[in-house]
Amino acid sequence: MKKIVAMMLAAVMVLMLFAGCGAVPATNDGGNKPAEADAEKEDAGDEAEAESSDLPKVTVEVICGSVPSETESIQAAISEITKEYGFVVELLPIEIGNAATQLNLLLSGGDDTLDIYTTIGVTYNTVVNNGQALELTDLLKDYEAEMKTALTESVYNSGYLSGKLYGVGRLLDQASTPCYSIRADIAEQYGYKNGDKIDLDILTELFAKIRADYPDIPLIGPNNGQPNIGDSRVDALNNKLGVLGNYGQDETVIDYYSSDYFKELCGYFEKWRDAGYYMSDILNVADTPSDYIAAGKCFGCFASHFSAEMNGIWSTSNFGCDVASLQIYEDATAVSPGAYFCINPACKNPDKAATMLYLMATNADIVNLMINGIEGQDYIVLDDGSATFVEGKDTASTGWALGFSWANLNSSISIPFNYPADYYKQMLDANASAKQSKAFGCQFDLTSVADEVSACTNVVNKYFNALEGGAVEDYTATLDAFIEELKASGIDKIVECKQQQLDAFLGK
Amino acid sequence: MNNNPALKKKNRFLVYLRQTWPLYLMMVPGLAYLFINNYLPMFGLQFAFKKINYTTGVWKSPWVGLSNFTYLFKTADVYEAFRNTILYNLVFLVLGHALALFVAILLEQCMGRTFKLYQTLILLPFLLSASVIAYLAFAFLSSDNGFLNNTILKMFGKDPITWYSKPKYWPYILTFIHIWKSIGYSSILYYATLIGIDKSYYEAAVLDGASVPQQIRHITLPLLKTTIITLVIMQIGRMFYSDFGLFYQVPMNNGMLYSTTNTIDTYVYRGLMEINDVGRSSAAGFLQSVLGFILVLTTNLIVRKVDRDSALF
Repeated sequence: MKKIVAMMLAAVMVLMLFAGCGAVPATNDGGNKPAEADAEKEDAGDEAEAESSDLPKVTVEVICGSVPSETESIQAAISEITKEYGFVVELLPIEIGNAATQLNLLLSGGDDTLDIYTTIGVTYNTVVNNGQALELTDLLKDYEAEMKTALTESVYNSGYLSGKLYGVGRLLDQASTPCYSIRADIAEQYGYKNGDKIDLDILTELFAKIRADYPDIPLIGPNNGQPNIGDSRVDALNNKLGVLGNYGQDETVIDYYSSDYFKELCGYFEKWRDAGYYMSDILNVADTPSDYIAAGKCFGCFASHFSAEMNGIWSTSNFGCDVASLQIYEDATAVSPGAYFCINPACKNPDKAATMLYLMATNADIVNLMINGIEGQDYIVLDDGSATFVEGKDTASTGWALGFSWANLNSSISIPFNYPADYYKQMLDANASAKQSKAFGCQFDLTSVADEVSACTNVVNKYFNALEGGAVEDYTATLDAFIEELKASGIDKIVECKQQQLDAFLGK
Repeated sequence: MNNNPALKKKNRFLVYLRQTWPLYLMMVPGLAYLFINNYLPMFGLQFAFKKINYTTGVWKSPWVGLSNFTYLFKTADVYEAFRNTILYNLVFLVLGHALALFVAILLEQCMGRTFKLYQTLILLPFLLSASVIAYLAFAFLSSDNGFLNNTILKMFGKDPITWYSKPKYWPYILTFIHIWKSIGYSSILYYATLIGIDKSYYEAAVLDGASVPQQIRHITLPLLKTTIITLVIMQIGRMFYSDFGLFYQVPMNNGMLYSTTNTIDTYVYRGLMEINDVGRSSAAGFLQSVLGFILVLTTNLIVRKVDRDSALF
């Protein structure tokens, strides 16, 4: 008797071990959704499910801050539209903080949990190199003309890698200009208002004036954990290891960190450090601008946006007080899209997924559902044509992932949310008026210099934030050491590699 | 009567099996776990020698020889990372075990309710996540509001120190944090052996007039020797690994501190964040485990030479 019990126990234990290794169920409901979403499916999704169960399904990644509760009803609404194209849509919310990890896992499994994804958290070139993106050249042939009109030709063409299309470029602001955001009342006191153009000398003078009146309050706080002082005078060519100077108009790739651009900036960093304008421990504190600006703990921070004025408007609605953003450089450089929309090679219905990509670029209803959710339930439209929260709701209490319009393929055809009604028009104008980088659309493949990239990335991590955050003692010596270590780590090889590819791109 | 010795042996084996098979059966789940968790992943070692292509799959991805390893031998920063990893591990090994032993002996001396209290207090840090510890450390080390600058240094009339830009202090800070965090757990391992020691040894020693230090030196330590050696050998296998949370989160990925906080794991993480190359990161893991494996074998060999009974295998 004892033996039988022991045997059964042992068998049960062995089975339990294997329980976790089961195949992913075909419905893809396993693991990725919160329990509440599943529960909701019972009542909300039932009807749609019944009619459309035999249609193929396309799963689309949705970037969000935290997994929203209304995914089911929104994907049902989108599926209503896509049904006439012969498929239904499933949305797969992925939290922005986990995007890189989750995408890597989803794309390396070789299963079709995810059909359409965005290269947010991963780089376009890498997924193509790893064989994680399906070739789209032929799949999108029929839609090409319309998509080019919707996204602009240069954005669409930037997805080509050695003559083959693997992803569709996102239409968003292509040129971002650094600005200094400061509490509007303080700016006003010294004669500045939101959207004014300044330069670094004027800014340094402004700092000095404010410091004289408010000796105890720091002027530069962290934004996203860094000082985040951008430089729109160069095209960073993805990673700032090898850049194009003169607003992307040069055709010679240079090392940014040993260039005069960076040297000049370091001069300002040093001045600001000497005068004590930085918040102390700027590289370590967990404060965000919304914590310290309204609270008066620090007056401002640096940010980047296609328009300083719009940045001020965005900051005002996010930081809890009126904010003025002052534009630092005269011009901005329009660079290749920062994200591409790709199809997972494991996708079972690539042609349907391609249709979905087309709809995401051109169908305003679908785009609006994906960005703002359902009217009346997630947002309301104001008289001027812009959208805002439903009365009494905010980001946390709304059931859809608001505030992630930038993670969509073509947000320009959606209703601007908490922005002026002409926001997207301004964005497109800014794209058009910025200097177009010579390298726009050139996809750099750094596989051959991967060792150098990893070594240089470490060196940049070591010095860049410290220099930018006023945290080094001897600027001249540190900058020299920085440049020297980059040289030793092979920055020249990266520059050369980019140069060759740029030359080929420009048809030299 | 069967006199064939081979058959007799077989019979004996069958009898043995008939008596003991439930024990073997009970071993199956453990073995299965060991196989799935520790042996199956070894197939992944091939990643280190391949250029992974997800479309064709891992098995069909092309072999690239040792090219995934080259980045680990190129720059001065990598040597610094190797040096830091090994030095920190040596300090953790010696100091960690000595202090854990000391605490275990102290714990054994106190009985009853106080024991529970002390044990809970020293074990608590072990349960904290690295991010929490990072902010606890920041509460001490922040230049403006930190406890050290505001209270302790002030008390002694010293100038405040910008801790997060002075790498020279970090070996001490990280060692302190590591010991504080890990001592509760490692001392329990020793304590478990300690309470297994027959009390009559001590009673006999007391009768002979041995003092407490003498009891520790002549009874406790010799009886703990095997445990100490086992734990040390096991830790030596992790000589080339580092606690990522401790070295990445606690110094808050601060560039100015890399010279004393960069380890192999953080170097690889920072370097590959951008390229996102599975082959290269596997190469680093491969190197770490092979080097650790060699160290374990060597240490065990030496131990076996010196004292056969204490060797692990």
